[in-house]
Amino acid sequence: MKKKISNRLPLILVPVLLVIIFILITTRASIDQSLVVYCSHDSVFSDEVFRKFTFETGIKVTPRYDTEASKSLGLTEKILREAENSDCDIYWSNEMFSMPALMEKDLLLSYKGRNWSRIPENFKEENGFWCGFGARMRVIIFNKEHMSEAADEMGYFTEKDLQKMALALPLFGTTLTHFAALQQYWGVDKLQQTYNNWRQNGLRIVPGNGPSRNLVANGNCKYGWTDTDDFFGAVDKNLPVYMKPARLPDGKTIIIPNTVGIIKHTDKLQAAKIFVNYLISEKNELALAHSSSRQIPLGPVTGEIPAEVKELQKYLPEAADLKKSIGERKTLLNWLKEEHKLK
Amino acid sequence: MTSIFLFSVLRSFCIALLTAFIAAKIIKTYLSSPKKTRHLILLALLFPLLTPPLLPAYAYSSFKINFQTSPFLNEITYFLITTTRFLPYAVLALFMLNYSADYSSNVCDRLSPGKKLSFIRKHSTPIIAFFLPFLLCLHEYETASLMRIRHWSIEVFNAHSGGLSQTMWSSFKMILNPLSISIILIIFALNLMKFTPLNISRSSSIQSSRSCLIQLVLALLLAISFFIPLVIISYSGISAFSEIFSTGWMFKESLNSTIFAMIATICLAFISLVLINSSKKILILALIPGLCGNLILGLAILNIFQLPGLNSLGHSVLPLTLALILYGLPLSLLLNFCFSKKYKDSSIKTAELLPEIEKNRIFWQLRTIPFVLCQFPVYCLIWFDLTLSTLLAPSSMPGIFPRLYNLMHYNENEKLSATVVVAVLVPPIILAVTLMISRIGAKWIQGRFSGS
Repeated sequence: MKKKISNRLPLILVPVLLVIIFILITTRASIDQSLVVYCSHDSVFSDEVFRKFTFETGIKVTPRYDTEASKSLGLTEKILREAENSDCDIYWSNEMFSMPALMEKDLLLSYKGRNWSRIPENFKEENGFWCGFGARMRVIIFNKEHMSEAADEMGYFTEKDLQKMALALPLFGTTLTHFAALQQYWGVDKLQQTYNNWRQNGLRIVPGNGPSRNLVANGNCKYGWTDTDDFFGAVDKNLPVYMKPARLPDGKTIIIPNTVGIIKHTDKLQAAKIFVNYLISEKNELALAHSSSRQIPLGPVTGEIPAEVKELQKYLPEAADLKKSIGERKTLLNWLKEEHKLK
Repeated sequence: MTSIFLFSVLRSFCIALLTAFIAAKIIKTYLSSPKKTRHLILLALLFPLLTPPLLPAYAYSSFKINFQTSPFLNEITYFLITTTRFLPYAVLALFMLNYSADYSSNVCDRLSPGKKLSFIRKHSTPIIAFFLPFLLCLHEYETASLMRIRHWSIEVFNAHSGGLSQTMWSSFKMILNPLSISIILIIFALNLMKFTPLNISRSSSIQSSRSCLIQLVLALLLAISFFIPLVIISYSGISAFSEIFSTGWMFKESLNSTIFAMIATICLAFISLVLINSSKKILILALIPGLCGNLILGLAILNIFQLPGLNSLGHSVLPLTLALILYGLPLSLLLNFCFSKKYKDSSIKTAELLPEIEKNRIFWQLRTIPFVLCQFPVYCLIWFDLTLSTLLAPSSMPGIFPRLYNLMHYNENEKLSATVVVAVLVPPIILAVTLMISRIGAKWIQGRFSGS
């Protein structure tokens, strides 16, 4: 028996030593002063922002991206889990419901920088724990070949047969925000009843806004709900689509900003403040407006804005204050999980 | 949840049955074919291993006839994609087990009067070749998620919406059924491996028409899982190559993924060699984490490295390396188990009697090459992992596959095609380099012996 163990010892030692060497080498290499930014805005668009920021300020950024695949298991949860052990200095979220969750756990630092005042009140936290910038809008995407542009009253799944309508699973992302806003207006009972009716009438529930957009753009569905960035993805591919803003029962539009907050335990506070100021600056909002995701600037901008974004900007004054819906999120999620038999 | 789980089991069963059947036919064709055809078959089987798992699903989703509008068509597509994806694993298991047969004992077994073989013993090899794709299919998550297939792993993922407020125990409860099935199958497979494979022999001859049919089926599956998706993705051109290389992330992130996959594969090769001769209890304990699937495994490791004392290592490379090792362990163990049987083959034993120079050359051919080839599917499985990399990679070392997924999400086909080319090319390059290094090593050893 002893012989057997001693025979195996070198075989056991090789992987152990290999992993130890790997840890030592990478730990040495990763010790630098770059700012760690957890970013759930897509890398396709945010890479350029980081590159410009580093070019202008000389501050290196190490981004950590989220993927659609990880959704709610992604960055917000990682920060919540790791709390004071997190290596995150800044959290750049592509929606606004993550920030209150971090605030609740006292993980954010209040900071009102020089650009703070340019962002409207309903897109930022009053004590400066987080601030919004460059937003998306919830829209109803229509297929031109199936529906004429005159049919603007459609889009709330009022038809009896909904097999040609698409909606992302409302357990995640901006569709969850949309539902939370609806719950605030309709109340729990009406939302539940409406959603049940939609499902009974055959509404196509797909994994995300991208697939919802694809179904409509490919002509498999007549219309569906999605976000402006997904909509413009179809426009850029010359697909036959048009859109109308998705409105709440009182006519308000649903505009969901990117949000940024400084993580309380950061040891690079100065660099973090510079980065927040940069993100919510007019310059960055303009850059995001010019990107292929066509983010809507929230603050006043003097530079030239693409025509499509100018159109979207018109809906800003009609935007609902989504901060009021934040409290709805937990009850909504519990119900949706039961509804989809996930509990 | 239960009905979805049962449906997942049924689907996995059907896929594994078809995979094992095709794999057995391929092996028969392989053994009775001339050398040139053999090389072609081996080459063909490499392609599914080299396809990023999400690529076929993504490519087909951009068709005008969207599969999401037809659940039946969607199921069929997923069925075919998954069958092709796991086919090489089944073929490899059959190949190794078949070669490991001790033919003299095989013949003795057949000639022994009054010795009646049970059905299970008689078909032990195809049954093992069935278990492997069954388990891989049952724990599959990423393609099912992208294609919106009703699969138990998707339900587990969705149940975590709104965060990980659920305890690990409630997450664990959700995977109890698939885990139990996996453990039972592993125990069964380990018992079956004791038997000498009987049903496939080198001398099997098959009709040329059947051989053609098998080659046709193989070509069809490859077209579905590799060539058509690649053409669809590359349709928009690879003009983004220069743009991507100028930004620098492609090289850095590919290198990160390569390093993680290499280190995990090397560790797995050694760990498997240690574990092969361990008791069944230890083996099962070692296999459980990997059998939970990458989603649950990733969440568990994430939690473990938040514990006091371990949290300082939470941002190091350790969590991801450990997770990749545990994830790859079931496949690595199975393949290395087959390899170790081959090593006991009489031809190796004969080679041990030869002079040192000859011995080294024959060992390189009979032992080193199969050993490296045996690790290759493990490397591919780890290299293409998305979920663990997304959850556990240190911020300073992001992998290439989360990026690839994002490119898919935003239909950035130009950049995607360039990234896919890199993703597909890296594993064969690594294989070639590994074989070259081991050859140089063997020659060096040979030179030392001939010098003395």
